[in-house]
Amino acid sequence: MYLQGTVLGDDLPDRDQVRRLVAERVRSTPGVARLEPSLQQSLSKIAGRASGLLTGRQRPDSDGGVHVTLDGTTAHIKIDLVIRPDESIIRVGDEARAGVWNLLREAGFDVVKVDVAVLGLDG
Amino acid sequence: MAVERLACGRDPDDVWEGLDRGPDEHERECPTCRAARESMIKVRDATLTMRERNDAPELAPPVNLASSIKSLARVQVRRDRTFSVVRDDAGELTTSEWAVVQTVRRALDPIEEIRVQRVRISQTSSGGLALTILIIISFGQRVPKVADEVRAVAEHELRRQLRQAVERVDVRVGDIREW
Repeated sequence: MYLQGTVLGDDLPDRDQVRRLVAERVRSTPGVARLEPSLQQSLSKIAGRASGLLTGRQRPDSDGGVHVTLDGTTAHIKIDLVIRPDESIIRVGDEARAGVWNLLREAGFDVVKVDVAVLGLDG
Repeated sequence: MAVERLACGRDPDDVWEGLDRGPDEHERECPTCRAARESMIKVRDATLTMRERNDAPELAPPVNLASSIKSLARVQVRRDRTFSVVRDDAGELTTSEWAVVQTVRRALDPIEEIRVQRVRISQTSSGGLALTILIIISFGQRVPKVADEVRAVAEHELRRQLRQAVERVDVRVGDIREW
């Protein structure tokens, strides 16, 4: 089975794959302006830039705003996002939540919990 | 405070200040001053080298450092107060006071008779939403009529945004001005 470029056999995708897939799905949800990284992720990003400045190496951008917890066939996803102005918090938030929930069920997870936080308007 | 002097009795500050000129007669003859000058020259040269390196382009802060710090502050503000909108077996949808306040402000923007000063949203003890809107009103307007319009627009926007009825909308007029 192919899921947005990832080949899925009997194995479930790992944490990084799930995070990437979830981030792609959320970004493609109509009305979503962007993912909102946590304070810790933002600090890491700045620290990464600073260390890249000193070492000459830059870290790739992470899928900030997506937090994944996997336990066997159970997935718990937390997503922080910002919506576009004139959109509805509940419409966009629910659509993002449903999209990710379906994505993970299709990927083979039995129990899926998706928490979405709409934190602002932008763009 | 007593100044600590070299063994020969000279003030070390005087030796330091004289580094740029050649040694005077005493410093040429005095072994203590000669040794002090040599040490001080090493310190001065090391300091100058470090200062020059500090100006090196590769050590300059990134151009987007200021915007990064601002974005950190925004991240914190957006997460400051959140509340639940939907909760079911599949998870939870929450939003922040910041997001809701932004939507209400945008909805109130077209009302020309007012300027919005502050919007606060809170949850009542029964779990409903309460909104407090502080406005400045244009001189010559009927306050009750404008307040009713503000209340209606805010209620409609909150219902559109959250599909929840608002329990209370308080409109407070903070000032009347001419524009």
